[in-house]
Amino acid sequence: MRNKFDHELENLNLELIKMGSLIENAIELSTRSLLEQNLELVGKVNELEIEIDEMEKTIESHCLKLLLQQQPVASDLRIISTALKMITDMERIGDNAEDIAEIARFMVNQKFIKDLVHIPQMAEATISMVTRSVDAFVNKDRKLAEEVCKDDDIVDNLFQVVKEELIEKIQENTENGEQAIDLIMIAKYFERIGDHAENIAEWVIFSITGEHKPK
Amino acid sequence: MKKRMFLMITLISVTASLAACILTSFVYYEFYSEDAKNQIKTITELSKDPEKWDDEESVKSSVNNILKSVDYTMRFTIINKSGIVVYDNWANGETLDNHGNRSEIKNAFEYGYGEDTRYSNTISSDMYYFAVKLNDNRVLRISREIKSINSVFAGVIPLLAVLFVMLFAVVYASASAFTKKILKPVNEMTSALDDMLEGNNVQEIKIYDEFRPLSHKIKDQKIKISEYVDELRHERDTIGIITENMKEGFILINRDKNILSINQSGKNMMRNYNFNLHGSRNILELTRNTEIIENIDKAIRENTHLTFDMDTGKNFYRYYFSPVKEQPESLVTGLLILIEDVTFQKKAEIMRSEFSANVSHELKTPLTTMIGFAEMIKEGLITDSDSIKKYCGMVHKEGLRLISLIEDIIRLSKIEEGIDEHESNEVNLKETAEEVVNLLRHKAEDSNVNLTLKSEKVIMKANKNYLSELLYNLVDNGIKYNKKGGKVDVDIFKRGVFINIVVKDTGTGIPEEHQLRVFERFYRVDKSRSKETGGTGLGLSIVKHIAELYDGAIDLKSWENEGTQITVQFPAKEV
Repeated sequence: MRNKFDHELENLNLELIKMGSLIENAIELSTRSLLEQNLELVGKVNELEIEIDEMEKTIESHCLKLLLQQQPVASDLRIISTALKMITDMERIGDNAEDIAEIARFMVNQKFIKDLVHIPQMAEATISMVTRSVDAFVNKDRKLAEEVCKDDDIVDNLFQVVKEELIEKIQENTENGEQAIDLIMIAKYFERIGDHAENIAEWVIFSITGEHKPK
Repeated sequence: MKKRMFLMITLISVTASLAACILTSFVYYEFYSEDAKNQIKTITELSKDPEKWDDEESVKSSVNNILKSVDYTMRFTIINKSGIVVYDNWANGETLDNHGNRSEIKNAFEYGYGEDTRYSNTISSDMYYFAVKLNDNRVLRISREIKSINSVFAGVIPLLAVLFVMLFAVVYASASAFTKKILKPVNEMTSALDDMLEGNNVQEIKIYDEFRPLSHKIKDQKIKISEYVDELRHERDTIGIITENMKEGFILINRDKNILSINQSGKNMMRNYNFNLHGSRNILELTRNTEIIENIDKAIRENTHLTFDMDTGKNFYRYYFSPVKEQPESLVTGLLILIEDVTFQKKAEIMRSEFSANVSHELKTPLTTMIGFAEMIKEGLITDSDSIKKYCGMVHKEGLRLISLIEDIIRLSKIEEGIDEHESNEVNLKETAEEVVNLLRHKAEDSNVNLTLKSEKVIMKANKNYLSELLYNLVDNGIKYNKKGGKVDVDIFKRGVFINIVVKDTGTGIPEEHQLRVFERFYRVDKSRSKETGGTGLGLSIVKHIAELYDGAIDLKSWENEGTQITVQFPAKEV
């Protein structure tokens, strides 16, 4: 009985890692679709998003089944409740990646009003956060998770920088307005992804220590 | 075993003492009842005198006399000839029935005395009766209570209980001491065995002779087992050392994609340097690269060998997937992943394709020019002899350029192959440099460049043609890419164990972004100028290859519009 439960937990772990790799791919592709103005990649992100949603449902029902049938306690219970919370954040990241790709779809034929410098930096920082938060989960690495939490500030600061630049662009020429708004939304989505990655990292810390990170 | 032995010993002692007690009781009982009977007999015989039993007075006094002398009660009965009880000290004689039929009375009347042991209802106990015929034809019967064997036992039981307790204490103490003594060597053997199995010693165990074969057997087995273990460990270590020192990444996974074995290169190539293989960890925990995971799935599912290349941005890795099967026909039980760093090959491949593209381009350019002019002349578009002379001169120049290009390519490939056209000789670098400088002096003067040579007398073992080629290319470059009124300084000297050739010019210099690439074949800093100077783009490439041939190193320092300094350093081999 116990063996079976351990096996199930191991499967749950693997499913979470798989979902993690899916969201990593989704953000990377959506970023590339924006920077390369590549329509094909937008389609791929949409497919991935559907897959991520499916994955969330699968993991959720898996968790509920485990809770009902095995009635886990202590750290086992913590792992499962962490998983339930983590998939919500992961699914949101998937949604945000899709949102970015959707905006990128509109911008495929537009000439950028400015060279994209800080948005790629934001993308890079958020991708790294997501990757490392998943890594922290895989290796149960508390230190790495704490680093991810700290890195959220980098993304937040970059968002401010992008915002100011875009305001400047609008002041220069009001025709820049439409694209500036699209870009600010993209930046915001990246900022949200950073927040979700931080959440995941916090859940990882919770699953290891059983305590919520003090704010 | 200890418990068992203890129980056995206790059981035996208790049974033995119980049996002893019972037997003793029987003997005692026999003894006791015989003694009681004899006493009665004696008393009765002694009291046979009829006067003592004449009248009631004498009877009472003699009964009292007798009773006074013993500490137990007795029944006295006198029976007359017709069996009627005339006296009884326990009951009224008239109430008693006729005793003439009682066997002891009967015998007494007949033979003079009689005895019997009967259960008496009167006192609810066994009675012993002894009767004797008096001279006056009466019978005197004296009887006494005889305890039954049961009641004898009942009397002995408390004593027995005490005895048991004592016995038990003694047996307990001795049994435990005894078992301890017996078991001590066995315990010693056990601990010696423990020691031996842990490998502390393989000494002979001293123990009872009966156990010696066993201890021998164990010792033999132990030796055999340690041999096996050593063999296995050796094998494992060998494999471990092989995989750990492999340049290639090595990962073995089972059907469930759990990692069974991974070497450090594998971890490095997966960029998971500190990956810990504790328990069973899935490949997903090592890498989440979709391409790798998909290929693994495919290789396991389709039971087929797969190879694919992956560009990590910095390196090219080639992945080989081989399904592992225990028998050729059985199912896939795992997957062997071998990762090879093919960055060098890939880069070489890219360079090769670039090279062929460059070669065709470089060869085609002069030909196009030549064909163009030739066509113009052929079609009669140019008629005056001056123009024909001029265009023919250009065709001739392009032809020469083509030849020098081809010669350079041939030379380069020869140097690359490391073929020594001539034997290595002791070359006087000073003389060689002087020859080269003299060859180029005319060209330098044409370009208004001041060429100087400063050389120590240095002898180097090498092919003179190659060294001359090297110097020629360096100095030629210095002159070609110079400004009017500039200068080229050649300095050759020996410092410690190195021979240095320094060529310094005051020319155009090489911009920083090109500095790393100028040694590549056909690489040109400025493509538009190349025609003017007539270079092939192979000069520095040839220099580099010759330097490498003699284990030399090249250092390039250049400042844009200020000049370039190239240092070639050869290790000075003892001549």
